[in-house]
Amino acid sequence: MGLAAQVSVTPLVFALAWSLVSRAYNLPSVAELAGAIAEMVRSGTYLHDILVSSIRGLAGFFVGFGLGSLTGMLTGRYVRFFLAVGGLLLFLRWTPVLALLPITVRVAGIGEGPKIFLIAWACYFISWTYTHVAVAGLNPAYVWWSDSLGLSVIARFWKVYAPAVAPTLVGGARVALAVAMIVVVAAEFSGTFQEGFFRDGLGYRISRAVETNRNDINVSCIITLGLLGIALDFLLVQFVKRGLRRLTGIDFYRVEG
Amino acid sequence: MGGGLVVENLAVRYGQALAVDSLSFTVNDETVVLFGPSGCGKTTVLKAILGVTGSGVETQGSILLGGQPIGCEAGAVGMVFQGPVLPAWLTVYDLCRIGCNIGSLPSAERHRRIVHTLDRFGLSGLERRYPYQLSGGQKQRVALAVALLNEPRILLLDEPTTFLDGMARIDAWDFIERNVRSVGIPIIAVSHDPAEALRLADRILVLSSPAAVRSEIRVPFPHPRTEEFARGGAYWDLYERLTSSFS
Repeated sequence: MGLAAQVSVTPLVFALAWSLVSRAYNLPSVAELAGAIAEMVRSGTYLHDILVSSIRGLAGFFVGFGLGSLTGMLTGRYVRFFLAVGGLLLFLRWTPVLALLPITVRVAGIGEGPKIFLIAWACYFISWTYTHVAVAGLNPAYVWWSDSLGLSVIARFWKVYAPAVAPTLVGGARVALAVAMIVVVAAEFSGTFQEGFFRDGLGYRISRAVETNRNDINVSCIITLGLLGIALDFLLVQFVKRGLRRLTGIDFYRVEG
Repeated sequence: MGGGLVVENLAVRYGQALAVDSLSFTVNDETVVLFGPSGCGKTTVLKAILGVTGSGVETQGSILLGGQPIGCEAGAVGMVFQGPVLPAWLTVYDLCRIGCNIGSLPSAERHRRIVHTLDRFGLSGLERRYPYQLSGGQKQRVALAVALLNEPRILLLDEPTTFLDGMARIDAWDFIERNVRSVGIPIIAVSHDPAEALRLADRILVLSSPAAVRSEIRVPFPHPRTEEFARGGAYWDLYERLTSSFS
C-alpha cells in the first residue's frame, strides 16, 4: 500500500473501529473527539501543548541519543572499555525509567531538567545498546578492505564504517524517539509549573482531563500523541537520509537486498 | 631483490593456537598459489602480509616488499577478499573511486583511470549499479578492478573463485589470466582447489597445518592457460600430486 493510500485509508479505518469501540464501552464518539480538539484549538492550548511536549521529547532524545551513541561506539570498539563499564551500564539499563520518576521529582522537583533527564535516560540506553551491537558487529572484512586500500581515517569512517552501522543506528534512534514520547507523557504527569512557556504539555493535559472527567480531551490528546509520533519519526528519517547523503555522498537508503 | 616479496620465518599465533609456523618464501614477478586444506592458515598468511592480523594476535618474522618492511607504503598491497568484500551501499563507480585514492591524482585523471579500468575489465555501463545488482563474475571483476586501481606492487587473492560455480569459475580464471597477470606484478593466491591452483600458478607452495611450506611444485605450462591445457597427462600428474598432498 502506498503512502497516499495509507494516509487516506488509515483515518477512515480508525474512525470506523473507534465508532464501534466507543459505542461498546461508552467512550466519546468521533464527533465528540473532534469537538474536544476544536475546543482546545480555540482556547490556544492545543498547539502549545504539542509544541511543549515536542520540545521536551526532542531535547531529551537528542541528549540521550548523542551520549548513548558515543558510549556505544566506545564500548563496541574497545573491548576493555566495555569490560570496565559494561556491567554497570547493563544494570542501569534494567532499572525501569518510570520507577525513577518519583525519586527524580523528590530530588530535583518538577522543573524541565528532571523531565529531560528522564527522557534522556530512557533514550540513552536504547541508543547505547543499538550502537554497541552495530559497532561490535561491524564486519571485520570492511576494516581489512579499508586497510588494503590505504583509506584515510576520514574516508573509512564516512564511506565505509558509518554507512555499515547506520541502518542499525537509525533503527535505534527511531525506537528511542518513540520511547521519548512515552516518557514525556509520564514526566508531564509528574506536574508542571503553572506559569511560563513550559507550563503544560500533552501529558499534563491528559492528567488534567482525567481529574476533570473529560474523556473526550483525554482520548483526543492520546490520538494527537500518536500523530505527533508519526510526524516526528517521519522528520527523523528524512533528516537522517538527507544528512547522510550530504555527509557521505552516498544514497544508501536506495540500496536494497 | 627487485620488487618482490620476501617472507622469512613468519609465525602467527592466536592465543595458544599456532596458525603459521616459521613460514618462509619469496615471490617475484610470478603467480604463487598457497595451497592447503581449509583451516591450515592460508588466509592468515595473506592477512599477515597485508598487516591486518588484528589485536591480540602475535606475529613474528619479517615480511619485506622491495627490500622494505611491508606496511611502509600505503596501498602497496592490493587484496581481493574471499566473498568478495564489496560494501553494499557503494555503486561500482564509488567503489572504484575509493579504490583509486592514493596520491594526489587530479579528479579528471582519476576519472579517466577509472573509466579505462572499467572498460578493460568489461564493466562499462555498470558504473551506477550496486553490488547486489551484479552477477558473481561481475562482482569478482569489480573487486579486482578496485584492488588494482591504486596500482599496488603486489596483489593478494583469497580464494578468488570459491563463491563462483561452473562456467563462472572458468570465466574468472580466464579473466585473471588475461587481464590481471598482464599487469605484471607479483600475485599470491590462496586456494584449496587443485584445478584453480594449476590454472593460475607459476609455483604452488603446498602448506601443512599450521601453515609451513611442505613442498613446492613448479607448474611448467605456458600462459595464458585455457581449458585445453588440462587435457594433457602432465597436468593430471600434477593434479594427482596436489590431491595426494592433502592425505
